[in-house]
Amino acid sequence: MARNKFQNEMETLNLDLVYMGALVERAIEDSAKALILQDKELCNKVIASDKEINVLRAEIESKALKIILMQQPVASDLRMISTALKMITDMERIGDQARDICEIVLHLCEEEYQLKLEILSQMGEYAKQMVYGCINSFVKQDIEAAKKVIKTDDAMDELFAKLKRKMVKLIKEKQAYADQAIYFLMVGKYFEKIGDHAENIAEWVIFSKTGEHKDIKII
Amino acid sequence: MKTCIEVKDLNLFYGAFQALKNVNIDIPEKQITAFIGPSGCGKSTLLRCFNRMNDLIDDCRIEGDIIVEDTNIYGRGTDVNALRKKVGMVFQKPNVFPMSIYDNIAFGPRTHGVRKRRELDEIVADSLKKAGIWDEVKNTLNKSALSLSGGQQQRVCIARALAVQPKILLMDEPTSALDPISTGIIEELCEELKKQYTIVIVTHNMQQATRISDKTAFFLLGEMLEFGETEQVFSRPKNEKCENYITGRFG
Repeated sequence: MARNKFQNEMETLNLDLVYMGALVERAIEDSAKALILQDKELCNKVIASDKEINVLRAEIESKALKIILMQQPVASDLRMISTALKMITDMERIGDQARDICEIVLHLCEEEYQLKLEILSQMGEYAKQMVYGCINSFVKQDIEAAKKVIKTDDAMDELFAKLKRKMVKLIKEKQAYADQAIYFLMVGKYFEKIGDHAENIAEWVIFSKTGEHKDIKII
Repeated sequence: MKTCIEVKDLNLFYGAFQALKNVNIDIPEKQITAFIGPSGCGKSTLLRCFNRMNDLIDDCRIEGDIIVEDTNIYGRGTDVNALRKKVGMVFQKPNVFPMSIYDNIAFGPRTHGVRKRRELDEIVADSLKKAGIWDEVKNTLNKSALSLSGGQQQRVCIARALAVQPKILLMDEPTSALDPISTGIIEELCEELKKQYTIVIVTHNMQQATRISDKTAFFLLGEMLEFGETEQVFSRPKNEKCENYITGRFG
C-alpha cells in the first residue's frame, strides 16, 4: 500500500471523529436522563464533558488542516476531510447545547416538576436518536441512515411547536407555572437545535459520499 | 467544444507487447489535456503517436486511426514533416541545440525554407515572446543556449516548437527537471498558450494536472480508464482504479 503515513493519518482522523461522536452522544443521552431524573451529579458530568468535546474539536481541526497542508488530498479523501471539518462544528454545538440543558436542569432540580415532561422527554428521545443516527451514518457511510435522520427533524420541529403552544397556554392560565414553563421551553429549544445540528451532520455525511450538499453539487 | 485530435480504436504494439489497448479519446481544441497514470501505462506512447514519433521505434505497430484536424495521420501519403510542423513537442529534459539562442529558434523555420533575415528575426522575437523568455534573452541572442538555466532552456525549447507555427503542443513531463519557480513560469505560460494552441501534457505531478489542465485522462496498463473534466476526475473519479491512483493508494 502506497502512502502509508497518509493512510494512517486518515484513519486516526476517522477514529477521533468517532470518539468525539461518542462523547457527544453520551452528553445528549445524559442531559435527557438528568432532565427526567433531576440528577445534579449527571448535570455536572455533562457540563464537564463539554470541555473535553471542545478540546477534541480543536485537535481534529488541527489534524485535518495539517493533512490538507502536508498531503494534498483529492477525491473521496478531500470530501472526507471537509466533512470532518464541518461535522466537528456541529458536534461541538451539540455538546454546548447538552451543557446548556444541564445548566437549566440544575435550576429545575431545586423544585418538583409541576408540568408534565411528556413532550420534552419525547424530544429528548428524538435528539438522542438523531445524534446516534447521524454519527452512525458517518461511521458506516450509510446514506439511507443519514436520510432517516434528516426526516426525523420534521417530527422534532413539530414537537417543539406543540411544546410552545402548550407552554404559552399554561403561562396564560396559571402564572405560578410561568418560571418552569419558560425553562421547559428553553430546554425544548435546545433539543430542537440539537436536532438541527444532527441534520446538518447527516447532510455532510451525504456530501462525503456524493459531493452534493442539499442536492447542490459542491465538488 | 471542437475536437482537435480524434483517436479511434487505437492499438499499439512494441513487437509482441501491446502498449496501448483500444484507446478512444477526443482531445479538445485550445484546451489543456493532461495524461496521467503510473510509469509504463502508455501515456507517453500515446502522446508520441500524435506526431508519429513512434515511427522511429523498430517493431512498433499501430492499428486504428488518429485524426488531427480532419486528416488521418496514419493514412497513406501522410507528410510526416508537415505533421511534425503542425504538432510540436517539448520533452522532459530541456534539449536545446548546442548553438546560439537565435539559431535554436530559427532552426525549424530555416528547415522549412525561411531564408530572409528580417522574417527570421520576427519569428525568433515572436516565438521567444510567446514562450515568455524574450525579456531575459533579447540582448544575448547570440550566446549559446547551453549557457541558460534549465528553466530558461525549457522555455527556449517551447519557443523553438512555436517557431514553426504549430497548432498542437505536446509536452512530455516538461517541468519534471525544473525547480518550483521555473515550473510555475511554465505552468503560467501553458495557460497563456492555450488561447492559441491545443496542449497535451504528460505529467506525474497530480497537483500540476489539477492546476493547469481542463481535461484529464487516466491510463493504466495501456488502457484509458477515465477521461473527463479535470475537476470531476480529481473530485469524483468514476473509475475505482483512477481514484486509487490519484489518492496515492495505488499498488
